[in-house]
Amino acid sequence: MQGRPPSVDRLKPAVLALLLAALITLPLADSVFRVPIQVSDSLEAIVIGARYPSSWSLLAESAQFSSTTFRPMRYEQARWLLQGAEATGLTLNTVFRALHAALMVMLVLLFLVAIRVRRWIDIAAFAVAFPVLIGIHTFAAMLQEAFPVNHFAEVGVCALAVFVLAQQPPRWFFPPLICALLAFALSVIESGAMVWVVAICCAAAGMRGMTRSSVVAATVVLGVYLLVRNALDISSPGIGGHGSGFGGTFYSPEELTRRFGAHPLGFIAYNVAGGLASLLFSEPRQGVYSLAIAWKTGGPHPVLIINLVSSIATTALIVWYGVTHLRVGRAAWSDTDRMFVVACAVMVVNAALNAAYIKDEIISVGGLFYAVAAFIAVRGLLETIPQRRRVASALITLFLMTDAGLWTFRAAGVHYVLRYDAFKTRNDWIEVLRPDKREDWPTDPQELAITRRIRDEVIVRSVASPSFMPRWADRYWVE
Amino acid sequence: MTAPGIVSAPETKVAQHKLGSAVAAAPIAWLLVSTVLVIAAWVGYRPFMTPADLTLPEAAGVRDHLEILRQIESGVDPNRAERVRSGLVRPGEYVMTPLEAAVASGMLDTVQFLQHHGARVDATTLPGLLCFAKQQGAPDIEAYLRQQAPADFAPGCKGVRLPWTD
Repeated sequence: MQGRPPSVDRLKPAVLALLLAALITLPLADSVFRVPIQVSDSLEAIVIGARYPSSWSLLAESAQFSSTTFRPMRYEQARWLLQGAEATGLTLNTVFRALHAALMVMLVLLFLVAIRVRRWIDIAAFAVAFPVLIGIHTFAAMLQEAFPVNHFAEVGVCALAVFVLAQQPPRWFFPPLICALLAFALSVIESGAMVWVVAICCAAAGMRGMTRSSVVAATVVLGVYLLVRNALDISSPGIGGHGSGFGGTFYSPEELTRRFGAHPLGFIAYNVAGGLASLLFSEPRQGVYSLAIAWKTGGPHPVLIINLVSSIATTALIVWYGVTHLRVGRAAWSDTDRMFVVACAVMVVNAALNAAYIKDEIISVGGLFYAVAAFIAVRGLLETIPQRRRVASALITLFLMTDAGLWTFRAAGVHYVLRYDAFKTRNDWIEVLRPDKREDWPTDPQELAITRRIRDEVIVRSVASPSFMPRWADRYWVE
Repeated sequence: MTAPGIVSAPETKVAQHKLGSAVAAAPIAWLLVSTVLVIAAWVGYRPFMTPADLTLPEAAGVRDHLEILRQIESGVDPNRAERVRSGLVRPGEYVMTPLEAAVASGMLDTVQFLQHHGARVDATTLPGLLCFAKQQGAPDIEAYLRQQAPADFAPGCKGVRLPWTD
């Protein structure tokens, strides 16, 4: 356009994308916020966070809490949020759940920054990729995380932040910032290693912001982390550390040990391949192939068909982009091609983290990068339209409309899944402080006071009973 | 010169706009529905949410145990018959006790939960509840209720008034 700088033209699509994302994300944040504090993985961590006289003593002690995990910031953050609730007078549910919702908003914002919507054609690609981001099963699994602070979302935020930094021209503060993000992610959960993986992939793909000093510094941080784990005698959970599926059946940890403990290699290969297949085709889930179950029982659920078709279509697009754009060689890759390579590499490496067991949350970082790859592939396809015949253009449009429609349907279902989760989570509190089981009540007065406070807050929290939601939703949105 | 059937350069921008709009149709539809729901919530209409005036029998009928607990702890009588909206446990709207609603829904754990929190299972309520359980085809509830009955209790549906007529 004449008389206007190009940045003004870029602003409109960027603002429109932000507006679209905000209007879809904020109601979703509300659904995340409505889920009460969970009993299963949250209550204990919160109580522990409050038990220690100082943050330092908690930090020192938390290193010894488990023989297979090293997650000191899990308890520290719970402690800080407790103190935040005291200082502000807000309820504990408000403070803890607001952070869950805020992390989800941060993920969406970082995704927007990462894909860089600048042209009108980007908006069309965004219209497909954004529902992919929200609708992929790993995203819903991440939002349902039961920890007091959503550690998988924190790792996702750190990983996307590193990816965004790698797209920028190098700055002096990038190495320390990347190290800080990695150290923080590693201190909340083992999947934090994905932040290092993203940094390495960015460097290998030649992204300009990821300098050698950043890579070396990040590798040193990872090395120190591994040394600390080793010094504290913390091992990684092996097969049998967690339940996981095989074929059409979900096995308990004991069953897995019996079945695969002596010869684990085949099961490890199954898990790694299954993790990647889960990202690319939405099957298996937690290691279980619903297709195998449908084969036995006849008639698959509609949710399975919707998930499979949408994922296959998008994965086909990603493969098409890779085949048509990457064969020119690394030196000739565009910035977008490098982003695409990083996204695909992160998915593959993330799948390898499933070696011992498959869990949707573990591949949640891969799910974020799947959406990035989808954006690049869709935009790549749209850019070919002017060179194509009208019939081909119409068919491509129809294909993308259908794909976007299916993903949008999946994404809308996240509201249902979260509300269902809120109902179940609220009802879990029934078992806490039961009047007829006073012998199970905490003996420590402070612990009892916190437990009672959270329970009282949860009881008055309004949630949606599945009975008041559409009856068909289970078949179309819940696997 | 553009080959036949291929979009020419001047048409490209228009074509891309049309294409973009078509591809974005589904997300925009979602956006509109989402916006309508948010606006509806602002004016007090909350579809897909548990109604604020949920009665105790309704909470029992939809197996909302924490809501049952909340209402009982706030002083609601666990034996009082109240309205149960149509579609929750029966096609029509009826007045029934929380225990009757739980039996009508066929949920043994809710029956036990209610009994545990003060709902009466005694000589006055047992015949009706047993009769409902039998009629509903809920053998687990029937067996559980029989265990509560005294040894000389002779169950029968004669003279028992059902809370519904359909």
